[in-house]
Amino acid sequence: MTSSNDTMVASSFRTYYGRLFSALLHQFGGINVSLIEDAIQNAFYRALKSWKPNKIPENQEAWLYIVAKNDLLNQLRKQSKPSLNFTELETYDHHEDANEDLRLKILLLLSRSPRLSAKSKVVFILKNIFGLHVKEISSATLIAEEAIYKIVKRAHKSIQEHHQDLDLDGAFEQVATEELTLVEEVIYAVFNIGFDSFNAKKSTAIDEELCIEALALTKLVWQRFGSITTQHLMALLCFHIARIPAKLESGKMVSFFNQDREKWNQDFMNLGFRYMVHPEELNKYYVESLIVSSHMTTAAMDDSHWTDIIRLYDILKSLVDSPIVSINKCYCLIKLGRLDEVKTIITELENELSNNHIYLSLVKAMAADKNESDAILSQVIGQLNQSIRRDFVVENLVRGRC
Amino acid sequence: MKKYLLLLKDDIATMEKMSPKEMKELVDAHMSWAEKLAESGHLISGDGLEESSREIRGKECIIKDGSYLESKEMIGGYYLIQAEDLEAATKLAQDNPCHLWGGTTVIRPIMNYDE
Repeated sequence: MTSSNDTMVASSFRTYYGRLFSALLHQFGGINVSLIEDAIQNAFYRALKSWKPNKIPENQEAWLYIVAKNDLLNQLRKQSKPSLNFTELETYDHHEDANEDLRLKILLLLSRSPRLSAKSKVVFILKNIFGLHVKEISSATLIAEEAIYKIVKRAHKSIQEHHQDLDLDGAFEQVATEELTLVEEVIYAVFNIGFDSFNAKKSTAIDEELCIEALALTKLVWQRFGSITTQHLMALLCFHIARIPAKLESGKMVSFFNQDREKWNQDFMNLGFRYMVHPEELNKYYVESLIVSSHMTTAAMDDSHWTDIIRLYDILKSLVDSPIVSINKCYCLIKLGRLDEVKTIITELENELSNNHIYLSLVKAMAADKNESDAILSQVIGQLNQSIRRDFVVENLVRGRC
Repeated sequence: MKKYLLLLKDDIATMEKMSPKEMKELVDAHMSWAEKLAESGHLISGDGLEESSREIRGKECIIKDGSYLESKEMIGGYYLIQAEDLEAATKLAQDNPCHLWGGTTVIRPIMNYDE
């Protein structure tokens, strides 16, 4: 690969997409949200046709921005909107805002929007801030493509109706803790989709680029608002990212406890510990970071380790009421042979979760006797559409029992 | 060496549905393919084409705007290359990345009046 291609690789259209979307939405308002999406797509298409090996624009993002903006202006002229001040829009220079990442403002605006459901927010943010395509979102979240198109369409409508004039200048002024919590949750959801992407077609189960981008955005939020919870979210993301190099081995997924620790990225682990400042008040990201980091650093996975982890899960459970926390606790209880407790928790969870919740089924299989366990596992295997995950279940759970 | 014109037809439906990541991959693929052709001395020129078009037809010179939107495919660019013969040109054109995303390449030998 030549040097010109190397610089090309360093840049990502996904990141550009989020930035262009935010800049244009900021400038043209929520009413034009669908036109903005078309304009960015057109700009990419023009890049495809006009960039040449010796004629790549030095500032690709600025090039794409200008082309997308002109495309958008042309679309608006065709609709002949008399209310628009074209001269003002044409002369507006996006680089005035270069120091500020507008993605953060749009992220905040979308996160706090009361009219969008949590799921719609994550989907819309994946699409327009992280630059994922509908089919990529579908394979990462297992939501059907048609359903995603519907979510996006509804989100467009809501943005057009309620955010015609975006008051972005005031966006950073009155940020309540709850709003920051929402932003953190949305970013963490995006991260998990990258970290745990169920992609049936690709052979890899991790979308590293998405994970790194989520970390970068978390850092922006932290730098802007300096909240301790955001700092702990960064710690948690660093610990997860550190394990990415060990998550796949010759195309197969390796479970956390079977990973080659030598492959964990030490720099990210150190970074994680640096962000783990002890808080005055406990928060879930801090406790989760404690759990992950103690798994990653313990000398032995013995009874005292699992007892410690169970204590942390109990603390976490008091902070967040999530069934996943209970399932994770079950895993630890199984390690200690406390199967009766596991069965009680599973019975409670089964009322809460759907019958074929994959993770719950797996834990149930581990706590059950052989016949029942085999039946549960074969049902789970039938459910998994991603062969890499199917292989993982077969190798680690079914064969392990024979 | 003979000259060949490669006309690249993009599949519009596929292009509209490409993700930013795929777009980036396609840009990179075209870039390195063009670079390879240039290094081996086969590339003479090449450009992308705008979507807008005009048609002038007949003795009366009836002018109308091209309506590419009605068709499934659109000529999105061209390459002018030189190669030993049509076989060699075909072999070179096979690696054109536009095929990976549903595109078509039409190869037309440039007429040589000296032969």
